Amino acid sequence: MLESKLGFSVANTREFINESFDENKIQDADALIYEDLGITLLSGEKDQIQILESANADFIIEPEKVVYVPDDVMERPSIPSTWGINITNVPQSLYTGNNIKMAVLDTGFYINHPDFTGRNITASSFVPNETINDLHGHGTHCIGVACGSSNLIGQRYGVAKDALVYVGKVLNNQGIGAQVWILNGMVWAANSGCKVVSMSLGSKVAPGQNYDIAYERAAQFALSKGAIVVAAVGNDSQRSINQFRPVSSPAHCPSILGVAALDTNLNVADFSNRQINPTGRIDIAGPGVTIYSSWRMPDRYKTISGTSMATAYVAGILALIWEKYPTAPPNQIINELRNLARNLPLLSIDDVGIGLSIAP
Amino acid sequence: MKNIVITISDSYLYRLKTIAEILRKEGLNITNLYEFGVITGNAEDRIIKKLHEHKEIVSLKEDKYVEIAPPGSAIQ
Repeated sequence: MLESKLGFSVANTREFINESFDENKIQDADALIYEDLGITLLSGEKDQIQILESANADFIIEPEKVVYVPDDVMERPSIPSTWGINITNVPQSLYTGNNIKMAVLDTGFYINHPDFTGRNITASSFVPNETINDLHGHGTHCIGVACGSSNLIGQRYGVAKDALVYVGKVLNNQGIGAQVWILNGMVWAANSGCKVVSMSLGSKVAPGQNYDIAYERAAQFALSKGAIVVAAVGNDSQRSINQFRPVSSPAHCPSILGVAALDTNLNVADFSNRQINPTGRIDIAGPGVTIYSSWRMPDRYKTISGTSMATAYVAGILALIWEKYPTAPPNQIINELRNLARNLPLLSIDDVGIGLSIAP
Repeated sequence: MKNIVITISDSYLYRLKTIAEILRKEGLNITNLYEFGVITGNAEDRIIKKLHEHKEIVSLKEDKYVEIAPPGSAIQ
């Protein structure tokens, strides 16, 4: 029928029994019959297809389905686990945060972590009945990124490796913190002369919700003492299914720098929140997917993702800028942070702010 | 009893300690008094309702806990 009635040029896979299938040999054929499968692949004009459809013969006609490789490509295993350090130009920087006081308000710090032997660490717990020892791991991870140094084999994972570490435990070992513990931590850090206060924590904010005025006051107080507060914008979004959540509290405060997370391809991380409320701004972005850093013992290290890690990167970079300009006021340091950032022109300011934070 | 966070209006910051004393007398158990105009404490619901009436208070909220993901989570 194909040849006689419709004038198709027909090829058959049986012609390739004694030789391997070669597409070039059938390029002039309009139809290719797969006898063993009972399928014919053909290309014809609309009227030819209509004749086939009206033939009432014992076959089904369907358009050929085209298969695509999914957009969601798996992580490339060749990417070094400390990609964030390299992409932010930390290894090339002349600065290491030397003598800059850096506060990380979190779940505390694993006190005897071997990578921090000999480091100057000041600590205070604002969680009732818990010491600063981090039995969660999150605080130790964020401290590792912001002001850690290198791992067992000398691979660098921390930004401000010579900073003076101020550990404020404001979240308990279950990862929960009262606002009053966090306010106490912010005041302690500011009064201790810390130049950076890193807060990889937050609670969800509803669309239309205004910023928290108590946190805003505390951040203004910190700024008046010369401390810049950075906070995570939150991980509540699922961009792959068009679910966007507003910047969390306290990152949504005008006097706190809100930090978004980027993945290894410098796209916005799927979970990273967005500016939806007018005051809940994204200021800047940092590496926040597959981030390797210190963890409580015996694990010692862990690779995780989150705006928490991105925040720790920006905190570390702020310490490097402070080292470069030790007598500058906070607003000048923030301007420098913005000037140094790498623009990401394909991404929205509502998602990544000024762009990827880069070391001085 | 509820833990609460109170913020005093900028215009009344100069009277912060006096205002705190008034709130304490009305039944607020003060746990922290911050110079930037924030007072934390705890009180019964009926007292909290009364505290709301002070014009000097710009915000009165129940202490909001933050919570991060558990240690085993891939996204933190």
